[in-house]
Amino acid sequence: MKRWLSRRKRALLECAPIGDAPPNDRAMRSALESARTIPEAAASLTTQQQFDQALAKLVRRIEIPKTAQEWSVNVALIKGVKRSWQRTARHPAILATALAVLVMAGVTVYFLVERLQEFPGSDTAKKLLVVASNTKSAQLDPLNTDAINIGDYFFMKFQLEHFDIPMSFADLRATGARVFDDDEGHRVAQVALAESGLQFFLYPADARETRAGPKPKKQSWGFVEGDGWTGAVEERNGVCFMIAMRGSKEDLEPYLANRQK
Amino acid sequence: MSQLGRSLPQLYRFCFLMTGEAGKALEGYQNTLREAALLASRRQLPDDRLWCFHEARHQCVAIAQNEVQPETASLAEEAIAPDAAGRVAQLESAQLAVWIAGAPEPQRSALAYFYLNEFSHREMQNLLDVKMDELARLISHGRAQFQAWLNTVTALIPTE
Repeated sequence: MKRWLSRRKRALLECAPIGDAPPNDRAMRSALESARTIPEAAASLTTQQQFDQALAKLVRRIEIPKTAQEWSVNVALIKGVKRSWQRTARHPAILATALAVLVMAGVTVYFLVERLQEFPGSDTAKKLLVVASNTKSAQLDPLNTDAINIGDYFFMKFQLEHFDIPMSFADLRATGARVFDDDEGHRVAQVALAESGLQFFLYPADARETRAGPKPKKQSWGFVEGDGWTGAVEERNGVCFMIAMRGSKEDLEPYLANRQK
Repeated sequence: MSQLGRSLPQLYRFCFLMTGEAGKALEGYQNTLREAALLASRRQLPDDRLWCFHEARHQCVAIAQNEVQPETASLAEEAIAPDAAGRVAQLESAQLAVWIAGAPEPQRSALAYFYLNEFSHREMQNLLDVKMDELARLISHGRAQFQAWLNTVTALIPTE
């Protein structure tokens, strides 16, 4: 019977409402409409509904004894309590969902904050802080000159253009320098200073990162920390200049502020 | 009138269909209402009309467990005949109740809920804690078995 309808619709038709009123349920309405378009199914449904209506009529004829009717007076005092939102909120399914949403929101915020702190060249800068902490003075070519001259030194000896030290650090004394290739094949210049715990790095800004990353404000420093060192990076003419200092960002920031004056 | 108050006649009818006897039906009905009163006094009674039918089912099943249980035998089934409605008209309500009360669980509850003509199929799924296919199977087999029984207890209605 009714094989011409889908299994789901056949199941719904078996539970078709007994009355003639259209059901509120959309799936049931759809199943009834489908059945009524097929003559065989419509006939079968009509017979079923007549049968069900006869039985429902028989059920309605069940008499309610007086003892049962007397309860209606007392039952008027029995009132149910609507489920409060606090109780609903304590439901395990709601709690689990809320927890999952919180975790996802936390992870999203974490990555967002991480992303906001990044700037073009920050990955290279982090790696160079490790280099700064591990470099021995013997690894550098000895120098004894003002930092302002270092740009010419790199250009003359290594043909590195724009590897200049900013004017605010021009008076610092350079005691050693070297140029090496980083793990991505970029040339990196490292300068040791007479001031203890302070080094300069110069490296080409990654063209991809420069385009994709957020544009830094003019003269703004991007900070990176790692390995007990802090670096402040500034990009100029496609070259990143990093001043690395042993200590935290709180030590480096006032130093930079003094130097900018 | 409260939700519970409006449901009282149907609640009694449900108990009657589940137990097949007026005395047991009254016991199931009263137990349900006492439980409702107890929960209401503790402010734990849900404001849900399905609750009392759910509880009544539980009470009626508990009452029936103390009685002689029907044999588990596969009943004959027949397709619904065109004269079925006429044959049903020859029956008394009590006969239908006795037949439904003799059905095994959960078919007994499914038929009692269905023929009360009170609930949607979703509400019945909720009350019986069954899926749609299972509910359809219970009702479908119930109809076919009742038709087979109907054929044996009622006279054939002459067709013109």
